[in-house]
Amino acid sequence: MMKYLFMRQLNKQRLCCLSLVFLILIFLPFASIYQNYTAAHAYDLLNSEEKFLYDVMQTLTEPLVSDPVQLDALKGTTWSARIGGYKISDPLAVVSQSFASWSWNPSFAATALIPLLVSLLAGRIFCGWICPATLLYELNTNFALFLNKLGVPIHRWHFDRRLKYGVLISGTLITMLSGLMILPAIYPPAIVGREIYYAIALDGFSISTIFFVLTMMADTFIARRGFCRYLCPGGALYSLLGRYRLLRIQRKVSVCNDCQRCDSICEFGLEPMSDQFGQECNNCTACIAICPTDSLQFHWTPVDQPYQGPGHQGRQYVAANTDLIATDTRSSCCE
Amino acid sequence: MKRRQLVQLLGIRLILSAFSVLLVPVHAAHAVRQKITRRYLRPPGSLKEVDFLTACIRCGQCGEVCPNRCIKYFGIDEGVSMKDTPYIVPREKACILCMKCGDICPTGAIRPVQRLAEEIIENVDMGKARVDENICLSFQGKTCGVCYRACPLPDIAIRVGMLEQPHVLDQCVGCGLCERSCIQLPQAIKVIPAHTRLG
Amino acid sequence: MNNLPCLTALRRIVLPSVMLSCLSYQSVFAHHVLGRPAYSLNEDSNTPPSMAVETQIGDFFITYMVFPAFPKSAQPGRINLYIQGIDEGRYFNDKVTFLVIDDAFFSDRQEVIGTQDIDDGVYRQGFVFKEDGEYLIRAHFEDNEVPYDIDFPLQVGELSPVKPLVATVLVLLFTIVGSNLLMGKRAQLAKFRAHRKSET
Repeated sequence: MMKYLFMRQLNKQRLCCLSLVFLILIFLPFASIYQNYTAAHAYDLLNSEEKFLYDVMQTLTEPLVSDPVQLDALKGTTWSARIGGYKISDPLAVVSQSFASWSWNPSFAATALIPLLVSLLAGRIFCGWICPATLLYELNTNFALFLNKLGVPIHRWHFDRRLKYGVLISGTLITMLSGLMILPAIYPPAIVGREIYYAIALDGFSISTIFFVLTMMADTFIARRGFCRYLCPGGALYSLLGRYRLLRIQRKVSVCNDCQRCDSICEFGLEPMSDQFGQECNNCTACIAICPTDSLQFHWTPVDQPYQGPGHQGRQYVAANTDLIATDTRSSCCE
Repeated sequence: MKRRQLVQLLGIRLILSAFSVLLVPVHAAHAVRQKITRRYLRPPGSLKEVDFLTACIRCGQCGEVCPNRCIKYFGIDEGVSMKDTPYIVPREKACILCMKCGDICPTGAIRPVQRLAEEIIENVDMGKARVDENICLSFQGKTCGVCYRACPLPDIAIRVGMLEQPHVLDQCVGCGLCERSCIQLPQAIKVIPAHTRLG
Repeated sequence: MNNLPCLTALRRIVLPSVMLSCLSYQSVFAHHVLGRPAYSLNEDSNTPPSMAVETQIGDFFITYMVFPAFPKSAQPGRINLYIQGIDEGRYFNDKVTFLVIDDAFFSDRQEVIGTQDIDDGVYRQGFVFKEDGEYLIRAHFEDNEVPYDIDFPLQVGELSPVKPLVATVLVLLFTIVGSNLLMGKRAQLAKFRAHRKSET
């Protein structure tokens, strides 16, 4: 029972994790400004707004560090960061840089090792648990439903998920042939991380913010999570790495009642009720949390189950097997 | 955005970027010159421009760690190839050569250089300062010398003669502190960026 | 290399107003960090407020200064233009023609305001604007038969509000977070309904 309660909380924990990453992305540029003020030793020359920032940051960081210089321990974004001296980077950055420069940089590649291993084990989990754009896109999905209540038509289209692999490949090819680093320019988590820094510590947002907002609007009116599902090159890369991941969600058909809540809640349009997770599942646990019979669970196995048929608690199975089993039909999902 | 800027933005900028990218393998400095940009410096310890553009992953960490907050990032106006790459405008905020940017750069686009005078002189080439004797007060019978006093490598990168007339020496690394401190408007000493040098 | 026809065409470049905002919208307060205090660009500064924009194009460094930094209509002002070669710092010596172009949307007005010779290393051009608005000052010159057209933005009159993009993004964020809070659990139900509708 406790285990099931825990599983339901996983989605909330995931949202906390995403929010924490987002808050850190907001905190770090302020820390950078604060460190500039402390390095200048010029508190008396600050104007009132600058003094306010200084005082707030001092209050926030005093319990954490004895000297503001120690705030250097955490720098960067989800694209590339340095945590306590250890550099960690997005594998897409390694791909992009290697192809742009036509050379292999082993020390840089090593910084993507941990994300690489985690993706091999748990698949597209960066997309579900860490990506700052995910938080904005998920909130945007709900906003779209809000607009829908007001009568605005939303989420009209579906496209082919394989399109993003094409984006990844063509993006890499263009990078290779032109030397232009276009992948970080179109990759939402890199954009969000940089733009937050620009807005707080520099002159303001750049054109990439407009691009990102356009993807959010496309998500609202064209396709739910359209960019993540059909265009994101990083998502494509993580999905490829996670094809034989060990951490998977699987359905326990004996308790499944075919209510379709999992299919509705899945942001990526996967079909847990049909045992179709695939390489694109980001282990976000939204389906685990919503399942009323707790039939969706994590398992350690490198392949998905083949389709197990209708859930044994669902109408279809029960109807086909009324003479074989005692009926204990839990009511199907309701309005 | 004004119509003129929009047209220019979409049209000429992209052509420019495309051309500059094609030209880059041919003659790097000329390609850099064909683009209209601010006079900018790359962070200290950077690779030369051609290599820098394909090594920098546009992560933004160098500017974040800079305690002087002198590192800024290009927007789309200088072209797609330059977007989100770091630069310094010494007249606004010069580089104090703390070398933290090199330590944090994950790809080595900014090479890590130890914070010692010999290492910096050897490995840092942001540009070279140049005095404009028409504007410099010391060359007009007055006495100044502020740039000499601002230089972190006095008598190595810059020396003064009569009336504090500044003379830039070969070992100038191009940090721009002299330019930042010059009391003339416009400044009488400015750093000629390394990437604009032909050959 | 300089004579490629495409590159000649590329000389006609516009300097975007982002550079203007980088310099003039930042309030630079006096800091004693690293030497002299920075000149304040506020109107009430005791040092003559001027705006300086530096750029490089082709073989030249161009420095463009405007006095006062924030000109108003019917107020006489001055442009100082410095053109120096990148390689040796030699001053460009020929005539420079200044034009002013109305930068507002749907406007084609442009006017030559003067042609100047070099005077002690600088090209000086006075101006008086009759109306407020956004303008471009174009400096036109020719070096070895290669034409250069450099445009600098100039705002006459009230400053436009800073950072409209930041305001827009904040409004969007507020709306999205707000609608999420309003929806709450109903978001899930809406998803079920939407899924059911798409199936049938």
